[in-house]
Amino acid sequence: MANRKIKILIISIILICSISSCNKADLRSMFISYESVNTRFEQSLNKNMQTGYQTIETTNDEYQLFVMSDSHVGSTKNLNTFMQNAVNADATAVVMVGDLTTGKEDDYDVFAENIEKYPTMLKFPIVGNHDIFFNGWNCFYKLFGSTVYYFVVKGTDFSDIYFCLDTGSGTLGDKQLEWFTNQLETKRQLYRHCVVFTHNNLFRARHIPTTEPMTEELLVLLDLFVKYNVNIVITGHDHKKDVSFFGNTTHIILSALLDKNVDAAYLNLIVNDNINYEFLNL
Amino acid sequence: MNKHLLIILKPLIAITLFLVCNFSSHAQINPKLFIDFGKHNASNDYIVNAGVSTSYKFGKNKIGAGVLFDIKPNSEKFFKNTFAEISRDFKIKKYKLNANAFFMYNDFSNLVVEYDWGVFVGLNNEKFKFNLGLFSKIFSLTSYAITEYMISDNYCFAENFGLLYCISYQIKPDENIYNLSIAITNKDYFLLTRSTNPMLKIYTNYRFSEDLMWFAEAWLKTSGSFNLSINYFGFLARTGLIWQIGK
Repeated sequence: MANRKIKILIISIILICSISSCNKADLRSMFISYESVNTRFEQSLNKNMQTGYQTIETTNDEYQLFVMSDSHVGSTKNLNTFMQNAVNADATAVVMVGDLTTGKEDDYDVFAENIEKYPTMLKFPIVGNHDIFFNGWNCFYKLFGSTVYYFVVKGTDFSDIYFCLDTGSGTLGDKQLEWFTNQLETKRQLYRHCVVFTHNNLFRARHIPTTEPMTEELLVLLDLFVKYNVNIVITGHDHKKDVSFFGNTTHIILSALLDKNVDAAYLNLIVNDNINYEFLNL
Repeated sequence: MNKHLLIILKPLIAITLFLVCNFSSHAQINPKLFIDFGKHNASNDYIVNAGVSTSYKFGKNKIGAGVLFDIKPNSEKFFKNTFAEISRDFKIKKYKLNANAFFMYNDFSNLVVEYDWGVFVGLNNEKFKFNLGLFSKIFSLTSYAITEYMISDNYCFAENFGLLYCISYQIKPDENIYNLSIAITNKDYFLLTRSTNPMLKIYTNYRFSEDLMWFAEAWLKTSGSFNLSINYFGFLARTGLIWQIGK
């Protein structure tokens, strides 16, 4: 009797998984990943060695960064509006905080075609979990290269540092965490502001079953943010905007830029001696 | 010794003294000693911990507490975590259930500490065990962090409730001389992971006598499985002894 119940349970789980597996979900990666976060990190560092870390020079005392997340291309209406608004506002760069595509090669091509319409705009993309579905990391790497890097915005009497980190697999991994710690140790004091971009939201802002980081890793990150005075941590993943505070660090979760999202929005980061932000609805 | 540690240890010492002074012949005490060995993505080095816990069962009620120490020779912090819990057994029809409440404290660093608390209901039969409940995490800055880094506000962050669960299958009933079980859960003695980060636990035990039992556990931690982007996070091996004193 007990065996029969177990069999029914297992068959039900398989059936539910099969029925629920739409073409946007890659159930294989629930159990076996295509590559580890350490592999992506090593490939990213190799790419960084070839391309170097970007420094953006500005003569203005104030500049803007436009930040978006979770466009999940397919469709590209909001993506194009976001890019056009960034161009119109003369933003210094756009940062794309993961889940830019569904992970499929066709969608990567659509995404790349659309953002290439704005060739003068500097773009800083990072992978999210969806971007690595269907072996999507290979497409990301081919099109954009690194997903772990920093860039600097340098003015006449200031320099600000922006870290882009890969949490597409729900963890930074030991190698990326070590790299990030070393970067903060050696560089933080040289810069006015320090901002971190990554895909996974760190705090559980609401009741939904999306993955946040392991508690052990979160505590290490919170410790680093306090110790090195990280000003803002900007994430996506949760699809609903949220702002919370822990010590001197502001934690921002972005709304999804997804076309179907009725609350689709992006963030305008206005940087001068302070960092101000505004959510702009689409 | 910091202020947080004293806040936690004082009631623990009081409870222990109360139990020792009021030990009844119908009660049961279960001291447990164990050693942990492991590593994870954020641990920087291998983890070597020693833990001690005890529970006191009187009738249908049980109270327990435990402390975890980092015993690596070069460790910066000796005291790491503590927990306290209470539970009560009850029955609904033929089903054996227990209601539990617990509190955990993680003295993570001299800047950040973590408080967890939760409640859950357990359903046990001969081979299957299910726990289901809710928990909340509170991350807090230490007074040292507040002073040293001139933090004037936002000293703590309390997260929304998360789901606590444990689904376990064992090959033999509890009373057997040996046992082997497998479980998926997000709760260890001193650790609660978010609901979306399940841990796999394999457990075995062997009874040397009615009073003494050896046990061992192996834990596999992964991240990202609920995001369909699984990644290895870490492992933990644990072994120890459990005494059963009293009836």
